[in-house]
Amino acid sequence: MVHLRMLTKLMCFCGAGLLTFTCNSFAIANLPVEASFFGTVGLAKSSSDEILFRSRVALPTGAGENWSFENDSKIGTQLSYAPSDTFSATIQALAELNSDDTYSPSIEWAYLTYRPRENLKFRLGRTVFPTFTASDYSNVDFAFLPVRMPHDVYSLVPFPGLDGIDVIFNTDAGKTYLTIQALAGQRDFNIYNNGIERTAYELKDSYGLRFSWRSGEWSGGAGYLQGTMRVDAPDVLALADALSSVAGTYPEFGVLADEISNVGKLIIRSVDVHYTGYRFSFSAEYVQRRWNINMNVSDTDAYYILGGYNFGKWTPYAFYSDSQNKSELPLSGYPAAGPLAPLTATLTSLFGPIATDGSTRCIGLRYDILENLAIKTQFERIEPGGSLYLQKNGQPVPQHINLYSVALSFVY
Amino acid sequence: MLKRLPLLVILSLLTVCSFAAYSEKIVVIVNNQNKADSLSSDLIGDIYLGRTSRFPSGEPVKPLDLPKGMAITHDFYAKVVKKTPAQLRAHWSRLVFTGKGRPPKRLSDESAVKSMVSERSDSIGYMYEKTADDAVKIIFDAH
Repeated sequence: MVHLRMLTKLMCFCGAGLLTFTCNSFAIANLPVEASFFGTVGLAKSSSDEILFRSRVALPTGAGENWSFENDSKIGTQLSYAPSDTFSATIQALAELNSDDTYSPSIEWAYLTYRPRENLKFRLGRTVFPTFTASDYSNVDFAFLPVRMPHDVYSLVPFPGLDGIDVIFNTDAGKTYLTIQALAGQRDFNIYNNGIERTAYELKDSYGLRFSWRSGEWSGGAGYLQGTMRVDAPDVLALADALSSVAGTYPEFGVLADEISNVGKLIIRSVDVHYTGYRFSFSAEYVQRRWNINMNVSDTDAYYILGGYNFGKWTPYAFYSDSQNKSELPLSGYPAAGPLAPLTATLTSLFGPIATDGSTRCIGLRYDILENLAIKTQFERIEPGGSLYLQKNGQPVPQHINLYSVALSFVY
Repeated sequence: MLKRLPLLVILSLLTVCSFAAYSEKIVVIVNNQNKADSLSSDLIGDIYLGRTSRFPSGEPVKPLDLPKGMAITHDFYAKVVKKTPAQLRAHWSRLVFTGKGRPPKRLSDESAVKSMVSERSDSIGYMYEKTADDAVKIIFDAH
């Protein structure tokens, strides 16, 4: 049964890829456009069936003790039409498992570019803001060393991209190159949460700024993004009402109820540094997410350190990542028996898994089969934390899981 | 004497090979009107990786590339740009799929590169030293 489900998904996946490829071929035959493709066929399994590891918060399933095809597999295509150096249009479609359990392709990027000067660019439409270094190419797995960028950090941006306008300005100071990118936009998207399953989110009035620099083999940057986030979560609001109704007899629940809201401000700050030599490469990023909804259970500080050494076609690598939950209100110590026990159970099942610390130790090996095709395999020892893990039937979260991944990634 | 023959043959071959390697030296060329007389390998690498789009004089620069799979292309990127083919492809993937840049235009051979560089002041190209002549200016040679 599991194999049948996987086969069906594989067929949907290939169908979506074929559809985008066919569309591209048709377009190329008739228009002066450039087409590019990227994709990954990935498998992952963990040592535990009690929780499922997900590479993205939109995934409705994840990797347990059986090999999971869904976590990392994807295919994307990009069409660019550039009639001149000043104007161009780009569209990028991606087929991967969605929160509704289908592989229907989604439009990840669709924008018009106006470039009045060689170092200044305006883009109007749907773009992905580089909140972190690799945020805007995190679907192009071939472009980075590990199977996926460290999830303790990269899962903290819950939305895929923004509809709006951005501006990119490049300049240099001697041998140091500087880039400033600013963006304003909004986006509706879905996340698959523990307990409340598929949830609609709305990000409005958001703007971001990223400053990055490069000097020889060193580079780095800092980013800031803020916006107003609205969550369509009736279960959460119902819990707030229920907690309020018992505030008279149990004031602690009243305090929690006042802190539960489905609208709040999201702020993400990040800073990063990288060294990219011919052989040795190194990256480190530090991130703060502040999200003042639901008792701040999503407030998190996280970082990772990633290094690799290239031996021609072989590149062994390792990373360590860590996320610390920064919510201040306790989620434990409430009545576990009596009439208030169901409320305590609902509270902990909704927010308990999110308000946890996590860390990951990873070792891996990348082999570049061709200049545009690589196979990567990695082992991760994970202390599960944050909203990335799906609990199965309310079973207790294990302290550690082992995650095994192998992925074949390409660009064309 | 006969015992030393293999040694002499090896030495002769090494000498011939070293002369061959010398004649296969890669040079970087610009238009004769270009104000620059020399460029560092770091700057050439930055130009070919899309990190800068200007010469030190502030004039725009458009790099020209040779086909993938040619020995000269591989050697140029290994020695001057310091990237393996996969590292180079990963680099351009990061730019192409985020709309931040496009790889240099590829021409069919060294003669086409020389021809375009001699005609356009914003061009920069690379070729074997033996192909370069007075129509273009050499601003870097890879030892």
